[in-house]
Amino acid sequence: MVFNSLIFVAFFIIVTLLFFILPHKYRWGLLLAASCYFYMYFLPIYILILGFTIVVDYFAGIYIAKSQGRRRKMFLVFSLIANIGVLAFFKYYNFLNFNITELLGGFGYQNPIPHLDILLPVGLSFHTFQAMSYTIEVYRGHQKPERHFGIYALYVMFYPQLVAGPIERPQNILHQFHEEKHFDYDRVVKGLRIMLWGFIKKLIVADRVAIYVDAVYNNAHYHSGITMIMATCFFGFQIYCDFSGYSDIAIGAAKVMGYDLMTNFRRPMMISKSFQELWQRWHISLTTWFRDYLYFSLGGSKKGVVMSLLNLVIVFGVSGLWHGANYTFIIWGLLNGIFIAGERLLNPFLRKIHKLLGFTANFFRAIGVYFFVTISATFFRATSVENAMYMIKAMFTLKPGGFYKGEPPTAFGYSIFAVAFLIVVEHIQEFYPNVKIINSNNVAIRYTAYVFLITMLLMIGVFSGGQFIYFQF
Amino acid sequence: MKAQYLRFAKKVLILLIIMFVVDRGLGSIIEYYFENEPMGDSAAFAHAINDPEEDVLIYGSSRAVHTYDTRIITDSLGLTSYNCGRNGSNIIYGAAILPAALEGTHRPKLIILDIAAKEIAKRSEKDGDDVLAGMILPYVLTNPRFEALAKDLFPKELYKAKVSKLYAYNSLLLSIIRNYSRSDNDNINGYQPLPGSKLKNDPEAFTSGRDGIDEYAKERLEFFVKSVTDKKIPLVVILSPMYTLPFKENESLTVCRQILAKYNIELWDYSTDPRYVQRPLFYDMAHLNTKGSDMFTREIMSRIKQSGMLNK
Repeated sequence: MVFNSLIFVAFFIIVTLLFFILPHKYRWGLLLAASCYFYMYFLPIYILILGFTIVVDYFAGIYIAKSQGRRRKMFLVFSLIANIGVLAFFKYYNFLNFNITELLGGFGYQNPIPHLDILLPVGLSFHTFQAMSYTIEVYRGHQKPERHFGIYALYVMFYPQLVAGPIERPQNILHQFHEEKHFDYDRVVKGLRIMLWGFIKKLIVADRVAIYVDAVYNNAHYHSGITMIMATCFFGFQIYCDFSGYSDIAIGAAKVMGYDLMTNFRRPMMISKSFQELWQRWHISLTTWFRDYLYFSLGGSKKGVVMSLLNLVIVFGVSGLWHGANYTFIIWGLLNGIFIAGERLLNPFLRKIHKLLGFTANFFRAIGVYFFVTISATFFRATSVENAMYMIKAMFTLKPGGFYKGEPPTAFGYSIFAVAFLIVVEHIQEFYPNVKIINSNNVAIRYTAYVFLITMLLMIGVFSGGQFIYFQF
Repeated sequence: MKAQYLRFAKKVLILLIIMFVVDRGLGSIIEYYFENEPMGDSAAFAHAINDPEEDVLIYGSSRAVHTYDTRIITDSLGLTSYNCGRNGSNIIYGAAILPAALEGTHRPKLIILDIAAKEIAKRSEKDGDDVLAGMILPYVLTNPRFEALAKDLFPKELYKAKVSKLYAYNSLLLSIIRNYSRSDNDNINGYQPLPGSKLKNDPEAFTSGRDGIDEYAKERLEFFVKSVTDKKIPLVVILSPMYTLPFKENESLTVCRQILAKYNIELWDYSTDPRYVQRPLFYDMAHLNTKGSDMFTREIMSRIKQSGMLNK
């Protein structure tokens, strides 16, 4: 079930109403059943995969806590193998097999391993990482094992964040499922406001610019360099609004019921002044996951500058692979790792430039970060490395041809408006936090803002955009 | 707790009432300006569904819109003409607007239907239905024929449009403003010329497709042909030139021919006519440019005159 559908609106209203009607002791059951329904709406059979990892991790958690020494580690390894095994099979089997075929083919051999037509379970990378963080935290002694099987299953399957995060940590969310929640007017309204902003991002910005981006990227050979630059600039906003829009809806939906999910995005676009800042603001739940469980495990920055930079590149490379089984994602991840590592190396020099530019420095830095990250996103969007290289070459050599305004031509106008609206609102939110519009104490201002946003949704929202990009991960 | 529930319910109700008023009010304003656009696709379309009283009427997709020059038709036949084609549409749309021309006292003297090679094939693009829905939705509140069509094809969309007037006119605001503010009208009785050419390559193979048949589109094509022939109005069905290499006939075309044969109508197939499949005559792979459309319209008019169908 996707958030931008009428069925979800009905689902959300019914589940939330039932949630507040039912006594506390039955609520976990309701949420679990609702989450199962939510997940099974995509492809019912894959609930079995989720069930398998839930059972494995539930018992692994208990046995890890009970055991000592090598035995304790053995249960952790068993749990990790089960989770990564499922992920590897469904997500990376064919990718690996393709590479084996290519490698053996180079030596004149045929690959005997068959290609399998596997459909990737929705949100597999998200709930697998969330499940893994549980057993790791139990192993590290940061989290007590959850004895209530239903609550543990809910931790993995909680519907708002089941298929596209935020990837929660057990310390943040598990205890919340045990707490009794009451209907709190202010909290419910706050949650609904967050959801509304999420829908604006998804329907007005992401799906709107996607029309232009798809038209250009799907027919790259027909378009000029300047058109490709425009499409790539739009794509940066598309992916940001698609994903952060989903996160906002998830966080808002959970908040309405009284659950606080972690912040996943903090306005990274055109505000981040460095790559490091960008990644502290972008997909925070995944970035911190990799930091806590991979970067630190590799030694972090404790083993000298060179190892620290190498670790960064490795972590970003793995993060790219996490996104998809394709070299395009790996290159995208590596590029961002190189950007952030290069930035660390060049920091003394960059500080001097910053001083030289004076008060305009932040503006140029934000534009610079956006430029590099958006160019790297070409690999994220393109279907193959060749396509991405073709796009980049066309952009940098300004491949001749006219400027494509979209079909119909007004589509371009809507896209520009959507992006400009987003930038203005996010800059106000970031730099003028005291300016209150949708949360103004003045009822006239507040209701005018509600009506304006809903009217805008109805008038220029794209309601046929379909799934969220991150569902495929 | 109960007080909090009531407070919330009260606020939601107030917001819904305000939204309803705004939706109906603003929606009506947009509706008015949309229906009275001085130029553009919608203005041409409004004519096609409200008062198509010309002698020669042309139906079809963008390939019809950009191919049949109404000035040449009027000049050649001495009859008034209007191009009722619509960008991005297919026979489902054409069949929906046809009754406006056949009902009432006026009787057209000739109807031309331009079909595509995949006219009744299942739409392969994922958003084929969305495109059609977006085209039809603005008219469901004011035109019963389109309401019935939407009920058949997109019942959920019809329901949404009935609930929210603003939703029915989704994404139309800028085009309305544009059509009121611009001074150049590139629409000549429905014909939209495409000057120049975007083509840089030689004709490529046409992917005739194995998409299967869209049974609803098939039924609509038969409805179209039957409606016209029942009224004893001469009907010319044309597959206009495409910038492609010769291709093997696909299922869609075969079924189209069968339907036409049932009503003694011959398909005038110019799809890969070598006289037309030339870069200087095409704007892009699917559409003739002004030069091509001029040449093609003249040929069709000449053939119509030679056939004597207008004298019967």
